[in-house]
Amino acid sequence: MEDITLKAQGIKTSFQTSEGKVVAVNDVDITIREGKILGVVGESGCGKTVTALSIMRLVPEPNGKIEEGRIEFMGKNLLELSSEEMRKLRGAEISMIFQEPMTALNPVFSIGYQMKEMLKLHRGMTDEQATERAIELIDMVGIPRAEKVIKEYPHQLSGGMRQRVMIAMALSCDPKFMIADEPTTALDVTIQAQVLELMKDLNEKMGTAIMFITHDLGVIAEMADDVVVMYAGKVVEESNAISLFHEPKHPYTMGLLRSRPDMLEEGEELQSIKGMVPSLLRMPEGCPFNPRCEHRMDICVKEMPQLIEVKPGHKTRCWLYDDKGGK
Amino acid sequence: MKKYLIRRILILIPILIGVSMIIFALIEAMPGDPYSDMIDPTVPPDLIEERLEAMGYFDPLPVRYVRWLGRTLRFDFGYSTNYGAPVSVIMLNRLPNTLILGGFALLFSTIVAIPLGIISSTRQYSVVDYIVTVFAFIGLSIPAFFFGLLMIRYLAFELGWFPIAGTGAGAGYEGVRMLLHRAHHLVLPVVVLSLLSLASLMRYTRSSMLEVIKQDYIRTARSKGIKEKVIIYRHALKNALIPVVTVLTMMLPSLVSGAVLTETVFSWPGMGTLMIDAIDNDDYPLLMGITMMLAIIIVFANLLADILYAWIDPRIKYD
Repeated sequence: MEDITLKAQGIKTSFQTSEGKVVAVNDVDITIREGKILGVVGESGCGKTVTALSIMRLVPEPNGKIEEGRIEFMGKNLLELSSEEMRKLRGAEISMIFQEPMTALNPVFSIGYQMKEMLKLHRGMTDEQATERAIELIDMVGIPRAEKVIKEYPHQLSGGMRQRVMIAMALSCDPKFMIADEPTTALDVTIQAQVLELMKDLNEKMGTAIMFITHDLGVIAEMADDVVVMYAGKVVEESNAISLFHEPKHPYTMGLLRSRPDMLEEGEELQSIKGMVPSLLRMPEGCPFNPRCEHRMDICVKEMPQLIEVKPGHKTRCWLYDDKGGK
Repeated sequence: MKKYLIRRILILIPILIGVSMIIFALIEAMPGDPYSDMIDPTVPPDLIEERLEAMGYFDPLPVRYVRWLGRTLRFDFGYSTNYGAPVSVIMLNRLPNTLILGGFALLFSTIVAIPLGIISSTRQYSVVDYIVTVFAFIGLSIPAFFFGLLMIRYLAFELGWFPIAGTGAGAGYEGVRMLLHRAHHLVLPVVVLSLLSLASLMRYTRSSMLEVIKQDYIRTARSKGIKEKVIIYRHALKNALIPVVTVLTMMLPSLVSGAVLTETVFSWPGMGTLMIDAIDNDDYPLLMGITMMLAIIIVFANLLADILYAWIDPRIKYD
């Protein structure tokens, strides 16, 4: 049995909107192996970020609410912790970096202040110790002249630098687990590659398990050990990265793979998945992907398929692989 | 920053010259002359004209402006035709009263408004928020003179908790007793004067905090495990204060100009009532002195706002 860092089961998170209740994440299981990178892929609005926020217990209140589920981490169920216990865990054992480095740092505090604050809080360091450690961390994420940078303010750094600072900050207390929510989406392509490399590197060096959220399968191919594909608040496919890329099972995953320009042969036409992600307020009956699916069967519009194991370690949620679906 | 400050202070000179010209021209345009209220109507017009001629009343406008400016620079604002004393002396007599009243009102409203604004923003749509909001709207909509009269009627007249009017300066007490006596007189005027600024300051703090709390960096702070109190009172408040500082510094000039209505209702001998007197009595030198002083204060309040911005927000660079 491999060591599991975090195991989330049956997470259901809903939001109260002016048009009614919306279930953004519905019965999602996530397992992160120790020191590994789990990639979570899906289109915008599929519930990737809400899953991450649910794990952090940072779902915006009072409209958002984690209704059901269990998140096991370090022998505890995170959903049962008091908010104070959870706060002490955040930053220290679980940290998170976000999509927009331009707005994720507080503009009125220096980089050093924002980094030292965590070290003092979680590690009880003195100001000198924290300063020293902050410089070390800035240096570690590949920012030159670290002594100067800690005195600077976020607006004096470029987007790539800020994301590096965020990574340094997230890793400053040696957390066991880090969530990276599309950390490279807002960056230039060249910078993206550098930041990804840095994260991969730190993952190997420090052994921090990472849940890597992205909509870019290329990034997943490069980074992830395991992959979870999400669609409309549900996990539709789950496997290790190699198996997923070689033998995608779910029609949605296949569609995603076909719509990648860099996987095309010359002269081949770029495909896209027809239709749009359904609104969470108007979910279709049965499988949420059925209106866009090219293999749609009668049962798909009636009943939601179960997540079943089609081969060891490779699960998918599709009637094509279910006996009941007639195949 | 130092370079910016020097440049900014140098720019003040042409601004103040411009303002002084406008004030001079406006007062010049007012009807009547300094003697029209002072002198017995039976005095022959020839004599008045002779006197006016002697004091340079008929000199060309630029000549008179330069003469006035030269004296003003030496803090000589002339002689009040109404009070029969130098304008500077009269103003210095009244200024402390206004500063005490305005200063305490500003202090009181800031101390009360900012925490209330924060509380009502962090508990948006809660009972506390609604109560605070309703009081803020009452504060914004009730006229100061009416509120002042209500206070006098109930708290001072019927219950007798506070004196009805005045500063309490003439009681002849000394030491702590005098301080207490004067503080007692100060309570109602300060409350009345604070009401409006308190309400608007609170609303500004609330909306500014609500805006800031939605920002990504607050979520980052939460993901770092920072305590909620620290997030609100440090991470959020420092950002939220930027617009609040604008409102605060814009309140500074009224600190010195005095509150005409509040001062009148409480017979408080401050700058506000002094200015009304000056206007009523065609007291040009006094009026010009007060207006000029106001202009200077407003210009400096703006400068102060700019300095405070740079101090709070590192993104603002003035080079």
